[in-house]
Amino acid sequence: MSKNTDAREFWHSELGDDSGKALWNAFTEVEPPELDRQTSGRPQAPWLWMGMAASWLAIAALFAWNFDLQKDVVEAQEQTALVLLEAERSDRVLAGLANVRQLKRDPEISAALLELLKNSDDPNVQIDALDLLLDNVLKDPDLRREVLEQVRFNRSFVEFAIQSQEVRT
Amino acid sequence: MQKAAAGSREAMDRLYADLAPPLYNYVLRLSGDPERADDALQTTFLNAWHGRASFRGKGARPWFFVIARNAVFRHFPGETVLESVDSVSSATSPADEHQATELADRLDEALARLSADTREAIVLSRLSGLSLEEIADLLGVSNGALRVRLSRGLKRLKEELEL
Repeated sequence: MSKNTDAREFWHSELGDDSGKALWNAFTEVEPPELDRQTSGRPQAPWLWMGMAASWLAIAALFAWNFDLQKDVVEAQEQTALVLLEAERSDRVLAGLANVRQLKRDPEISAALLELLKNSDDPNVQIDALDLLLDNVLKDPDLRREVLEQVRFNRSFVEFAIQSQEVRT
Repeated sequence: MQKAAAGSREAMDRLYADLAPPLYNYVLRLSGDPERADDALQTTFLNAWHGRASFRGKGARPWFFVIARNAVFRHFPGETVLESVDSVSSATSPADEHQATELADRLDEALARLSADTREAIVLSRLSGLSLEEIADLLGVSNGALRVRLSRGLKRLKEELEL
């Protein structure tokens, strides 16, 4: 016997059997929606699990692809910078030096910068190359002296620039 | 309910299968909107799940109806509107079905003309599966006051529907 039997009996006693039954049956019931469980982000159905797993794999692949793409872009930027650093015209070399500022230091780039410092006859190029080298490569005073001895053009200017940098830091 | 209170999801699923139909029909008629009723039903079970540790009652059904009632009145305060529901008819022939649908529509209209308190009492007594004592507790009235409210409401429905 259900618990609300007393409710049904009350209806019948108030309305009479026929009317009570008619009114009781006139109430329609609607199917409830499925339980939308939001206590976790995990789907319930296996196909939803598979869909979610596929989505995560796709996202991981996208990240890996993006990482590779970024690596390719950086390599291309490094190659461009190296080509510019070896250019004959100073404006191109200066553009290459500006590009180098955006990149991580690489031994190949550092070697190219040292060559510029030693062999360029343009003081602007030398000071930019020196500026890039001092922070990373030319931290050691002995190495600085050694490099300075190899500078072919504007040696006194470069020497003065190095001293100024030392005073600044 | 004890298993659900202890955190068993299977037990909560069984409770949903058992209690969702009467709860949904109750909140649908209180909120007046299937979407709101859907939200209220989900909120009810979510609140029940989160608050399961505090369950101390004699039965799960009255406890769920208290939560559902709070969900409706907290989220949709003000005068409730009776929803005209699409029937799940038990009629056997097209003629019977037409007659049943017509009566259901007239019933919805007649219910809408009742006061919110009376309407809620009638809906609960018909659809909740709760005893009159449990309904009186839920509504915060005495058993006698509930019976008077029901009696008046039912007689008015009988008159309006010419049963």
